[in-house]
Amino acid sequence: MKLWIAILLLIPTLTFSQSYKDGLVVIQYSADFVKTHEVDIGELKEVELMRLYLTQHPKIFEKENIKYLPTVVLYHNGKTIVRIESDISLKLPDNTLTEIQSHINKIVKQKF
Amino acid sequence: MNRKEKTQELTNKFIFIIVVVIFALFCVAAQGQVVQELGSVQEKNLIDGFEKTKKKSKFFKNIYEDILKYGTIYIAGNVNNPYQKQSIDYVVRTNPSGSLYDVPVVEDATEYHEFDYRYGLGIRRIARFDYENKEKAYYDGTENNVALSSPTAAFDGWEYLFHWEKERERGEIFTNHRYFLRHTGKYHIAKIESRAEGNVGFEYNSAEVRARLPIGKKFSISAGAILRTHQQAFGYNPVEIWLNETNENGQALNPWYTLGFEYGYDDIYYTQQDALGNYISDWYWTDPDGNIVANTDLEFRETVFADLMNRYNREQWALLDAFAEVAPIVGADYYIYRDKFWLHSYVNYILPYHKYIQGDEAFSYLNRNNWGLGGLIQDSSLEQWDDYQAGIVMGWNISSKLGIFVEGEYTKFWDTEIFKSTIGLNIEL
Repeated sequence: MKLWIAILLLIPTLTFSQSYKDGLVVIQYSADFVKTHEVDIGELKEVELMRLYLTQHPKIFEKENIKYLPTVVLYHNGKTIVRIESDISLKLPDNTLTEIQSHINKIVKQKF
Repeated sequence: MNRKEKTQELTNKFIFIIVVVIFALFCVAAQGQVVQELGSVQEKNLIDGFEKTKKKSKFFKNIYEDILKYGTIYIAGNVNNPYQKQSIDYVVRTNPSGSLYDVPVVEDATEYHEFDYRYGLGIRRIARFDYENKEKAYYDGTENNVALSSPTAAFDGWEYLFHWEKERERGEIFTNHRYFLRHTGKYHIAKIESRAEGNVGFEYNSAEVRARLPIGKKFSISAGAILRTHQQAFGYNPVEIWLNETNENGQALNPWYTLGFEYGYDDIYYTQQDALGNYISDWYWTDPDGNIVANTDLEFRETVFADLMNRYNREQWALLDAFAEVAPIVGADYYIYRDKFWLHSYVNYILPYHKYIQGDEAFSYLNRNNWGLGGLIQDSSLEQWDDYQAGIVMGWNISSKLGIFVEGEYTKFWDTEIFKSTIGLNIEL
């Protein structure tokens, strides 16, 4: 019986395991050559923050279909909420942080 | 100092602890955002004089954002029909103008209560887990979130609930409260709680501090210490001990009927001859006002005496201090949420190293099995115990039309076991 319960819980758990996108998280996909164009995601509040570099996590970049650098994505429980990509000049829009923060505020507010 | 005053004193101590913990957490909070794999931006945050001034001006803004933002103040009340039996009870009384054999008066003896009500006020900032829906479009103080019992929270930072209410139920008025304060961080959990439910005579206070170690993003383990109070002197039955006191000849020192005398009741011997000429003798009982309350010893023991036993026990228990004990606690928590599947499981285990810091240890739970008919058994050793709590909430939308769900929580604290569970299947047509 215990074994069946363990299996029942384990299968879907493993199926849905995408650790880096769990919870409410902002990931800035970047690379060494565009470091100067990154936004200071440290200013965002009530969210987990991560920065991933192309040279260190190429598979994730491929999996997430990252075509522009830098790209900032807000995930909530594995789901993409908003994705902001840099333009041809490798710059992110000026309102990147404001827009992401407004999405974060909306999600957090719903929890209360 | 009676038991209520002692409990109040203990509550005051808890409030003091709350203040100390709040202060401590304010001092050490330093809850900045951590950007993983980020070096250069963090370096920018070196504080020079200018930024320090800027920070000071942001102090009140931070207070709002860290403590008050998302909080809700509510004042709510409700009025409901009182409990009423489905059938009406009638009794027959002798007609005041006639004798026993005249047409009697039939009276409605059903107990009717005034309407039930509840009013309360509070402030809350408790985050719901993703699988929890908001019960109503508003808060009225009747909400019960998983976050109030699970060791970790759905939101890092301050969470609180300060709720007070007064209610009337079946004609009786009770005052209830629930005060809850928790700060959760990546590596710590600090929680203080005080609850009182007047209608079930439940009072409970606790405070705990734990270090937390996240293992991945879904799983975390924690360990720390917990302080808890309990009211009951488990295993101690004062009236049983009193009734079983004997002299050296094995005779009862306190015959059962003497308890009636202690409370002002009196028994009077009488002899009576029935229609057949037989003599019957017994004792009839009067209350402190001289009213007859029982016609025989047996009747007295089966009616009034039972109430006196409980009254005696209550009075003896009230002489004891409230109990407070500290023990180590460990816990684990697993949480994953997806639209199609969610699982939240948690376990808390309070290790058997309980140390009483308030209350007479002789009457504590450590001696729950050491009470005999003659009182506390001499040279008996103290017995430690395990307390634990485990809960699970799982839902799985197997397809767009089919979903299963399981919810359950089991708590064993002292000799109390509480469990609730739900399991089900939803098929959309």
